[in-house]
Amino acid sequence: MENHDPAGSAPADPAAPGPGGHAADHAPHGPEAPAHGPEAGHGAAADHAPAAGHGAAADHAPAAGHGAAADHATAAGHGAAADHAAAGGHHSDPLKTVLSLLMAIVVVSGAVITWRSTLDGEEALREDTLGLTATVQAQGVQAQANATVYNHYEAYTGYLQHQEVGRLLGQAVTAILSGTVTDPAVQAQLPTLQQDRTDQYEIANTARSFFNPRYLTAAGSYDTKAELAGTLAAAAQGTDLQPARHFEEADKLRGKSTDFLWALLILGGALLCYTLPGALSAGAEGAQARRLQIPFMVLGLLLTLVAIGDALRIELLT
Amino acid sequence: MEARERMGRLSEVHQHAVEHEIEHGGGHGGHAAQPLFNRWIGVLVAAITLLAGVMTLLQNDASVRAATYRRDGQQLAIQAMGEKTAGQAQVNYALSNLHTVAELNVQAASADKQGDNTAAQAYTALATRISALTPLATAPYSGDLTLYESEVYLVKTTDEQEHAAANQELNEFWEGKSHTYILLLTLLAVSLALFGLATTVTQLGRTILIGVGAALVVVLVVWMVGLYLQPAPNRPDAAIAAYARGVGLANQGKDDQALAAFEEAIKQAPEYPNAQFQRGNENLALKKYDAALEAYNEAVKGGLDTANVAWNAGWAAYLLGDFEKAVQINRHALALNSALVPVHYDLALSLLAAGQIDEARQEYKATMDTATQQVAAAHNGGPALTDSFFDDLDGGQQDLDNLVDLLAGHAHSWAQVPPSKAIAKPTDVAAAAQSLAQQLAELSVALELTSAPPAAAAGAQIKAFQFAVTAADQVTTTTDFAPDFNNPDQTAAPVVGLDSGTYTVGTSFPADTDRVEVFFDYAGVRPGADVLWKVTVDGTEDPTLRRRETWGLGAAGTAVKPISLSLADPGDYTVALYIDSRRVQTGTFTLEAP
Repeated sequence: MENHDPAGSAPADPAAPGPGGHAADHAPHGPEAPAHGPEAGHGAAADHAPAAGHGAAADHAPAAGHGAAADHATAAGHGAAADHAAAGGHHSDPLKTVLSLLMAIVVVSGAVITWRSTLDGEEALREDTLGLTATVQAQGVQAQANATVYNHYEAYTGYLQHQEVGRLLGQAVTAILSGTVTDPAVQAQLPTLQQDRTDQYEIANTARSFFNPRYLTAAGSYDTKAELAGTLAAAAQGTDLQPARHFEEADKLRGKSTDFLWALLILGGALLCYTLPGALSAGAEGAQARRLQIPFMVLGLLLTLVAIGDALRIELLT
Repeated sequence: MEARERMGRLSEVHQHAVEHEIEHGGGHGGHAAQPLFNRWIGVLVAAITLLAGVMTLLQNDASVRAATYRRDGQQLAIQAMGEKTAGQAQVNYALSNLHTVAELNVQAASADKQGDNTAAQAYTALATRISALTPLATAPYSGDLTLYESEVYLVKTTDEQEHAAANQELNEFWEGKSHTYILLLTLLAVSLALFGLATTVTQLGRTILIGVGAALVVVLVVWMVGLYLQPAPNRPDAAIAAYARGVGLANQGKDDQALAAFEEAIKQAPEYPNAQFQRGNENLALKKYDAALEAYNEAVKGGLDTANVAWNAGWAAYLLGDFEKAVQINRHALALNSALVPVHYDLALSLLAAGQIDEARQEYKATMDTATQQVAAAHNGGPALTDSFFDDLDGGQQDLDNLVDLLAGHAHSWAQVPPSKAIAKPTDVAAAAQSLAQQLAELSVALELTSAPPAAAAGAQIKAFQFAVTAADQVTTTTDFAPDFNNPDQTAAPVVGLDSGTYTVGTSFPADTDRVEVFFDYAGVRPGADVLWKVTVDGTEDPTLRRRETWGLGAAGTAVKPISLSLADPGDYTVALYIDSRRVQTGTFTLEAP
């Protein structure tokens, strides 16, 4: 049956008095007809409410419900349900589907970004630990290397002392043997001087076992700097002695973690854009509703793309 | 229209309305028509929330454990460092004490030589008194520095360091679990989002979303259970204690006992890669090369795939005579750490022994060029050379000399060489090895003394060394036979000749020999030439016998160089003379065991 008044105007009142004055007979039915409108409308709205579940679809239900109710109220026979169905109770709205998908993308992206941010934060903590370990190791190696090198230096000092005394004694021996010294008392000391010189050289030779002669320079000094550097270089081959690179990595990861949170914030803005139109357009229908939803949806989409793009930049380029 | 007819029509309308409500659900009081999904979605969400709570609890537990192990590991590492530093201070004092006692003993011996018994006794008494100031001189150490070192700090700090490493491993294990729980929680949030989205669509779309969400939850639950049941790595205290004991024994050179200790550690903790590595080292020291290689493979399987392990494994393969395998393993070691110069030499040596002479020459040349560049860089303020840099160069040269001796049929007992029958093209290999050994020896000296490669050959000709001792070197007397020149170690013209009857010429001398004289004829030596004497004992240089001089003799003649052997160990002494960084002559004598 045709719906002459889609706005749900009262049907032809069967209770309206007609010729013959039988209105009283139909009076109880009179109010029922309009009662079907709202009831049917409510039922129709209720049909859609569970199907929508969340805001957007439910917003659209009352309009469809009212339209369906009007159809139902004016229908006088079979086909009311078909009319109702045809009137849009299950009509698929592409905009709703797109919004649902966009929200799903926002949720999933947000979860992934949160996960990456958390992991980077944990990794930064790990790098800090490794850096502290390297600091401890470096200090330990420094302390031990210095102790060893200066122990060698002490032995070299003894070597130098006895070597020099031996040289001076050798000069005295040479002076006597060459006839420069003629004092008989001094000449009588020759065997003692020779023995003392030999003793000094032997003691000096003994000292060579307590330091590394490889670090004796051509000038006769001891290169402690080279020995220290060599010891540290050897230790560095097998032990991590560079905390700085770990701390730099930790700082970088913390920065990444924070940057991810900014992207998350932008996603939050996008989600707001997707949900706000539904609340604002309650009561609006059709093109009027779309005029409100589409700009917000576009803005939300832009924010989503910016957030995902930023997250990808952070992950891949930093 | 008749009233009855109208009533019928209205009844029909009413009937359709009721049917409509039943079909599409909703309306006031429509519980009977509520779909199954609506009733169960709330329960599902609550269940997943509960699951999220369980996961959060497990994640928190894992995170707490990780933090605890991290803290404990750091504490042990710091503790070990402090104890090592303190222990080293004690050992350094013990060394100084030994030095002082050695000086006093020399003076006591000298006084005794001169017949001054009172002085000799006084020096000896003082030496005894000073040596008592450190436990090193008394029982149970009795002067054994390695035992003292092991007991003062080495075993204890090794134990602490291993515990620190075990804690670190546990920290990484629990951190990994914590990260995975976080991932599971993230995916759980995704499944919740899917269920939420399912309420916005109907029919097929809803089914798909519910299905995917449910499947995801099932996967997450299985994953969570598997993760929870994953066992943590376990390294018993007894295994670590056995390992630390093994390190102490290895430090003392007690290879058999050290091997037993490492094997005990492995028995307690089969997945103990450090213990496997040390087991390999002890087997290598005991010349059980097969067992050494097997142990290194186990260490790699246990996760210790490092350059050091590969380095030793490559050497074991070389000594077994499996040169192809040695080449492969050495290349792997260099892939892990290309800065390990000794491994480059090992690779070149393996190529040479395998008969790939040209490749070996190329590898030696490349390595020598790298060594030259590193020395130049260090000389100009670049990265410092390691303290073993020149020892590594000398080691490379010694390995080649050992190969030459092996192929000539007189390998030394102390030399590490492969089976001679495994060497391909022995004649060519021997010739190449001899030439390369000479190049390496001269490069090592030139780089050390001048920071540059050796200059062109100077033309010095040195005849074969003759080793001799005087009667005064062999017995203790009160007569001073010290040579009459200011520096008794300087190369000089001999006071008396070899044929004077004063000297006994030989190649093997008794253990108590104090000094050996090296006689040689020379020609074409540039006055003022830079002279270096190096003495190796059983293949390793004794740096205390190294002497650097400026040539003060003529261009030709006969010279003698004394080698002082006080505090010397028995062994094969190879004396090498370098003039202007060119190795011009070598000779070997033996100091016999007591």
